[in-house]
Amino acid sequence: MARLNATRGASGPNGRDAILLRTINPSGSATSGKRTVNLVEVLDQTCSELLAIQDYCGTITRLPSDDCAVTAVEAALIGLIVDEAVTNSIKYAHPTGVPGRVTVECQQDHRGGITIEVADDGVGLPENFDPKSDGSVGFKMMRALSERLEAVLAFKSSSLGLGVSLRMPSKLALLVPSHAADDNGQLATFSTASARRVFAQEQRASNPVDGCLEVLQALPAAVYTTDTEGRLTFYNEAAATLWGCRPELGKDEFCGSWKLYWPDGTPLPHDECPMALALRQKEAVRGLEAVAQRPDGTRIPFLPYPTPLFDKSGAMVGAINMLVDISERKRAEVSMARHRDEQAALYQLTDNLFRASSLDGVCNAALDAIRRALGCERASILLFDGTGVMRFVAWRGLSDEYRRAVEGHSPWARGVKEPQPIFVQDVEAADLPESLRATVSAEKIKALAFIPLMVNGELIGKFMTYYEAPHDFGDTEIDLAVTIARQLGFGIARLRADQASQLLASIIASSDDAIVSKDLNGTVTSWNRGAERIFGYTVDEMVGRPITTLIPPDRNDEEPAILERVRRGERVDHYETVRQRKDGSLVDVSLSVSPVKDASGHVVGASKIARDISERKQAQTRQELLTREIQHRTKNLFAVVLAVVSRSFVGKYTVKDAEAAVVSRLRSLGQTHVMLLDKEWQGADLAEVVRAEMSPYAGRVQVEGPSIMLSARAAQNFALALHELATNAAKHGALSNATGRVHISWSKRMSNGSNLFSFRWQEQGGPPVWPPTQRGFGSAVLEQVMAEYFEVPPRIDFPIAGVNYEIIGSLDALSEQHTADGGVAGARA
Amino acid sequence: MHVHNGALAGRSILIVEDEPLIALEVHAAFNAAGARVVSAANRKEALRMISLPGLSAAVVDMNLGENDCSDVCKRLSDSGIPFVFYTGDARADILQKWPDAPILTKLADKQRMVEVVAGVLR
Repeated sequence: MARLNATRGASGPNGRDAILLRTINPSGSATSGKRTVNLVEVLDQTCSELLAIQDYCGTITRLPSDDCAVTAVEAALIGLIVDEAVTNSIKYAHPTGVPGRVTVECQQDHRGGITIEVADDGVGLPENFDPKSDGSVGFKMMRALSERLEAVLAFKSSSLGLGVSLRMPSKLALLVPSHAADDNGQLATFSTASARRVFAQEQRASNPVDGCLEVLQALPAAVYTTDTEGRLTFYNEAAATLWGCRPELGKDEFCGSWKLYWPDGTPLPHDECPMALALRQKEAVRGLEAVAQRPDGTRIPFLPYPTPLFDKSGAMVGAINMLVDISERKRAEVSMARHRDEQAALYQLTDNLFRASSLDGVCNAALDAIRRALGCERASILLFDGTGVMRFVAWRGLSDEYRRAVEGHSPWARGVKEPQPIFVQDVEAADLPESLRATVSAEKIKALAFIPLMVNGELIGKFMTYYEAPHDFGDTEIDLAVTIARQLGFGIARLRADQASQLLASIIASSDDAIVSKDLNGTVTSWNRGAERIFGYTVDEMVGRPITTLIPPDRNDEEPAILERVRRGERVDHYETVRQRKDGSLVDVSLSVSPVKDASGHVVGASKIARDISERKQAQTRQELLTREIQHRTKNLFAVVLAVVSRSFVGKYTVKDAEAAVVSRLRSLGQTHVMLLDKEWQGADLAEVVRAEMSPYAGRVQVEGPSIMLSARAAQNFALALHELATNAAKHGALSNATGRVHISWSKRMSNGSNLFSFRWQEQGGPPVWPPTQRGFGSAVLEQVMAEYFEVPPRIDFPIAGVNYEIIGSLDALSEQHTADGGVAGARA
Repeated sequence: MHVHNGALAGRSILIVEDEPLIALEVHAAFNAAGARVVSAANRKEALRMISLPGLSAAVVDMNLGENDCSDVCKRLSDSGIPFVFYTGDARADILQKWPDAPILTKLADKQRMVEVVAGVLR
């Protein structure tokens, strides 16, 4: 295919035009139209020029040929065809670039018919290629020229090569008046139209290119001639087509175009055009470019090749100009520039997305790229919000009303897998809901596109482009839109990932828990503030150091076990253990260790969360202690009750007496308990204990003493002792008549560095007292129970005037608090 | 109430108990069984009394308030005096150390207490 579809870059002034100018220029090597030339010479010259021009590595050989006399015009036409055929062979016969062989020959049959053959040893024409209709300019020109010659152009293509043959009927010989035509039978035959036209033109001696007009007319390039004054003397059809008008010969000057402009758009007066310049300067002008405007307004950029023509004496006789239409090239240039701009926009987008650190940044970068690459003034980006509603996040050139009206609209359902872009070329013609069309039209939008934005295969939103005129969305534009959407999706995904990891990082940084990571060798790779706080090491001290730095020597076997589990991809959850701080102290921690995997799922390390559970551990210890204390106290209490009950029966004569004693003693015990419970078992003031026990006898009891805190047990035992004393006084002593009184007093003083405590119960005014005959519970309490606190045993006397009970000892024994955990504390004051 | 036990007659029993009323009750039970009773309300007192000659056995409250009874148990063990735990809350760590000592709970029947102590006498 390459053989035919490739552009014939070498065509133009240097190849074909060299032949053209050579044969038609009187001062050139060829002769005028009236004269005949030997075709063999023309072929030789064509071959040698092609060899020179075309930088061809193979050979071009003219095979032995017959001398054939043809007119200059025919020679030029044949030369052009041969030029094309040879050039085609040179370019396409050997796509691999191996040196090829091209042969050219001409033969004349006995009737004067001429056959010219060009053959190569290349790959032949591609399949399906019809040389009679297909092909580029070259093939078209060969066909057009052979038609003009009324010759038969034939192609013989095979894998061994391509042969092009041009068979000319014998009438050519008739045009040879002198030496070449010796066949009299054909001399008088001017039967073909072309021959007649050639002769007719040869009559017009006024045209400096007379005799060549046939050639010029046949050329697909725009050609015209002027006289020395610049008045048009001839133009061909191609020129009329380029200009879009038919100028008047002999009147219009310099150029047949309707209007002329420079490439930058400034008007170009005809008398300053390149042709005018060439005539003034009497030399060819090259390298300029101009734009012809047709009467219908279309503009055709072209390259002019104005060349003055001179006669044999060197006098200028006029000029010829060829206009090469370069609109295709211009279009290609515009398209290239456009393509460059698109590429630049995409590059810029990639660059900006890379730098963007916010959604605004990402969206602005994308909107710039969209507008630049897709050539729209207005654009917008919408994303699904948390509730699944498509909302504007960035836009250019949209009114608030419009955004309000269309926000939430999405052409695709939220979860759709492969949403396709939607292009509305013409809003008026499109199948849109009427309300939407009205809204869109009110915003002066005539065309628009919806491009889905995807992140990880999920639809997250769309971008929109808006045009103020109906817009034909080309394939390139659609591809570009999809590419930008993809880039934007990546940008948003990266941003979201960044934000998520920043959030994660700040959560980790602000966590009270130690969150650290380590590699599979147990080397610390990250260390948060929680870890600094719990373990006392800074991040600089720990990163790069082994995690075993934290492990107390007696737990050295833990880390290998943990690492082993992590290597297997297992988690370690809430493993309670002990770690060592920088200052050497131990801290109770609960560890959760999870394997960290890379993108391909390989375990590369572990993340470790350590929670300081010392407080919880302490609370747990306290809880256990309290439970034990309650257990102990309850059982003790029952044991005390048992003792009270069983001892109360000792020495009692009646069950009734015993019952009364049990009830009153338990009531006293209960009362003291309630008092102590109110004070959370921290102890009680002696004065309060006395007041509580003696309240039934208020008014007959005189109490005197400083505030002294007793431990809970001392308070309980004091209460029991007071109860026994009071019960006895009420039965037999000072409180058994109407006049007796009890005096209770205590004091404390320092003696030899210790607090000395003394307590006294003294009865007065009661009936005469007799010492008890039996030692019961009461005396056991007063003598034995109270003895616990004092080095000196308590003394109870029974003088006749009233009972006297006295204890003296260290105050500390009374206030020392025995707690269940074995500690000793002072009673709370 | 009064539990006579021939094995205890004339023996000296140490009661280590910081709750006087309970000590009183235990005291009475052993008295009734014919034993002589000495009681200690704290560790210091208990350690002093163990050094007295002629002790046959001891009843030890495991929870002596100020501290545990370990050193009391050790002294008893070292002195070859058998003992019985008398306790409200059996502490596993202490029981582990003295696996041979029988355990009586605080609410144990007095007769049973006397029998158990009689059982450990050498």
